[in-house]
Amino acid sequence: MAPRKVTPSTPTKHRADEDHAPRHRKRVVQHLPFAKIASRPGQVFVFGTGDCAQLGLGEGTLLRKKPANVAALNEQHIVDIAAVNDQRTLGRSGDEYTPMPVEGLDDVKVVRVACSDSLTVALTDLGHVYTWGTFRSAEGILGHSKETEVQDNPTRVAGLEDIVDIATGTDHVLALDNTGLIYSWGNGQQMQLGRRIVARRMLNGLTPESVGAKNMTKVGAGSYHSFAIDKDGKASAWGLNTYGQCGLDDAKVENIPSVGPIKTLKDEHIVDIQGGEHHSIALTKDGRLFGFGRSDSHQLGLGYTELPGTEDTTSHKKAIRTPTLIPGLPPVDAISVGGNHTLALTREGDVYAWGFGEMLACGNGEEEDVEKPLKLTGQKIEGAKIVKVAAGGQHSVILVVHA
Amino acid sequence: MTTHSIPTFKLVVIGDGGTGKTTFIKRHLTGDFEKKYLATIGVEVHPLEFYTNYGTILFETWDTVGQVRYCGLRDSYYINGQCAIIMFDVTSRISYKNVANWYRDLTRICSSIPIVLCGNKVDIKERKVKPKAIDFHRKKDLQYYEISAKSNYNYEKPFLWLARKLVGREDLVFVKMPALAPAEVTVDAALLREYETDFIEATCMPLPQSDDDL
Repeated sequence: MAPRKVTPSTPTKHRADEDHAPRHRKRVVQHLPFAKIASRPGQVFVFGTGDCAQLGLGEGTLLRKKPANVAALNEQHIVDIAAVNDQRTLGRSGDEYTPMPVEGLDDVKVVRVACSDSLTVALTDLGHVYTWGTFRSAEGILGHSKETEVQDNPTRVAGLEDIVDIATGTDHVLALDNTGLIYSWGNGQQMQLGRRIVARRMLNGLTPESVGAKNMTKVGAGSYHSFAIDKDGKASAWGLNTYGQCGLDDAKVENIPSVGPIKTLKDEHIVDIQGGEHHSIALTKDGRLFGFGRSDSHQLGLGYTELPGTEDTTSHKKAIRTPTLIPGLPPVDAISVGGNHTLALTREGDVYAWGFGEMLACGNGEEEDVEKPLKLTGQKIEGAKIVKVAAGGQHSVILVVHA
Repeated sequence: MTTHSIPTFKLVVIGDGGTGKTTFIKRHLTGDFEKKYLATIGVEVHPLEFYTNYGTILFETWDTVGQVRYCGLRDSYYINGQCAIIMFDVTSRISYKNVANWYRDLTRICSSIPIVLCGNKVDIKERKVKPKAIDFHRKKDLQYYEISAKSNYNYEKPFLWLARKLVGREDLVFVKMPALAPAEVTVDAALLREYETDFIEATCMPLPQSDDDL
């Protein structure tokens, strides 16, 4: 590999005692998806189900129908948010119901955080990757690395340099370096690593290896499937495809073993693509969304799509295997795909949500599934601009800047 | 499965991988001995017999062999299910969090069948899902039991509850226990009492309400 220059990136702060003024540094690689710095500190609002302490509102609040402010984070300068959960995923001991700093990351500047079911990944400004927690497989705990079953404190992943983007599924991680190569590690039982993992050598999956794709500029992940976008905005997918969540033409294969282009999206310029448990959403450069995969809880926001040959409008397809344009949305700036729901942030700073409603993660206060994109409203966020969204398994987090 | 006309019920056992479904089912020795493998759908069916004061009943217990949540189990697994056990592992909150997804998948196909929620591995000291955090069964009107498959603790409880519902007799009791594999671990009686007290306390609490939500 040719020698590469380390890319300085936008700084991130987690301490209240430092000044909040944005700093201007030159970004060498423009397309890097690092968090935008808001001109004033934002406030974090959450909604959904928090029986595993996801909401950060303290032990008394395990359910939140409408956006609520996480007071413990108000004094911090938040630039990136993610949805967290156990097995030492928090990288610290003590109270789990209120946000607190992670132990052992004091000397590095974290620019991005991503969480899988039981593992947390942090990307630093130097392009280093730190992880803590563990991976699980169909049989239970798989391990953090070949040597460690559960990693208590953040530890750097060896062999990864100049990483610019990370993405996590339920039990796998993707990392993109600045030469456009993608590395994957974790549980490979559903081919989400893009390489074959022999059943009796499952631990081999815990060491990062290249998935064999080149010239990539972004990675994305669903629970058990993976995505990459190349420099021309063309998307590829691999991994579990039981509901057509990989969006590939050759219909009903259950697993896509290695990187395959999504041909139906070849005329679109894709800028972001992410998956939920069994569904996927792609964002185009001009702000349109395409959905594909599992649809039985309206994960795709397409409303009732009739089964072929039925007149019954209440019956709908369990899965939509071809990427389909999601109507009824103003131009979208960013997406975040949760387990069975989706959040879309529009260019105007509004949030639209749809999908599985029972865990209240759509923020409309109802337990019914949300069929079509629905604008998020709430007294506490009225008149405010939303600058970032993150959807977890059963809850949602938004970063709000009050005017 | 058997030639006698014993009342037979299809029981589906679901829950995340590693929560102890197979261990639990295999405790019943004759059921494990007579199990049949349905290769086409990748399911092992264990005929679990229980002896009640109303006669013998049989749970045809369906266990998924390895194929878990990621597949979004095939409908054939659920179809004609007459009762269900949803299992999670009290040492893994992720497995509890996923109960909601399992419940959704199950009830899409089996709309009103008796369901028991089981929190397994209560023998392990490093418990993560605390009794008062468990309220899914209250929201959905399910029965809940804490079990420890490896110690046989509360093994028969889910079956007894299901049998009463299916037969429609609240006074149904088991007159004889089936042969179970010997306990591999013991559970700390004091700890169990503590869980039970916590649990009763939690049951008396109102379900979380958020009236100030605006």
